[in-house]
Amino acid sequence: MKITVFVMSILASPLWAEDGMVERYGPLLTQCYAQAADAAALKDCIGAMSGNCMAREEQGETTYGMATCTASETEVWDGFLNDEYRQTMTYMKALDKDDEELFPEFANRADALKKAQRAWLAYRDAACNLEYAMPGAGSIRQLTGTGCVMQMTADRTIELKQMRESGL
Amino acid sequence: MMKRGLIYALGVLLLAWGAGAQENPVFSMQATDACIADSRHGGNAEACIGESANLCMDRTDGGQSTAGMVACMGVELEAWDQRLNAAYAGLMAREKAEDKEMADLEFSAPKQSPALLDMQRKWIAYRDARCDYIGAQWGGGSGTGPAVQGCHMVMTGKQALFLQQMLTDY
Repeated sequence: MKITVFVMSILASPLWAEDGMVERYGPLLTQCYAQAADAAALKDCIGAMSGNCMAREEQGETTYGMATCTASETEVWDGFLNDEYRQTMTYMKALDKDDEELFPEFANRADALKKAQRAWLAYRDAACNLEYAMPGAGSIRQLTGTGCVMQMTADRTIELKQMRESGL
Repeated sequence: MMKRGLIYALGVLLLAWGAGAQENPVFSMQATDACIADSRHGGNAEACIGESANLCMDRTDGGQSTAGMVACMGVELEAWDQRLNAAYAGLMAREKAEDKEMADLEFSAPKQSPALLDMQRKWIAYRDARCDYIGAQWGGGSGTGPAVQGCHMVMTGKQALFLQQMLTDY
């Protein structure tokens, strides 16, 4: 019986799952991110988009709906992160180029950035996997896992932005 | 070539000056702990990391030299590292017991203890890579040592607080 209800609730909602959520609620986050003046304001942007999605989507308050709304916010942060990483990389490559001739041993910023980002990604996945494993049994684990990925992706984005703007 | 020579000369000079401090930093975790106690009511405990190292730099002879800074941050790093290890050991013991209990009851819940081990290993790799990146920003300048040491101190402190939180929360 339980299984039937579960399958039906999944079947009833496959269309809205991926459909248009980023388009509908993404602009909220994009605007917040563009207007935030400092780290605290940027942190305040986290969660508003998925919260709005959960409140307004018909099935947004089900476990599945919450997880999907959260995943759609993660998608937007991931785009910002790519963008921040690319800008930082361009800057690091330029600094490396200045050092290449006289101090080639110190022209390692771009390489170090790449290694740090790769290590961060592995750490994020392992940390969120742990969160997923921790809170006992039940469907709540779907939420802690997806919420963790969103939070950590947003935190890393803000960190890279802050570091770039302060010259790191 | 000139610039690099100068940087090295300066580094050697600072090292010599700070040699005394390096042996004897005046340190206690009291300032950090008082700050954490104050932060319990809605504050941010992470912002307390480094308070004791800062005080150590003020109180130690040559504490503001490059070597003095590295030494003072090194002692606070060590203190955080011990707390991290203690919290990790506590968590691991608890999660192993929970894993065993769930297995005995034949539940198919994901195992917690291997996930904790994996997270901590990946964190170590991330800490090293991130602090290397911070160090790379100094282009070999004399600020490299304190910057990298500070990075290790702050990251270790944050991870210790995170593990302690997990130990009390779940």
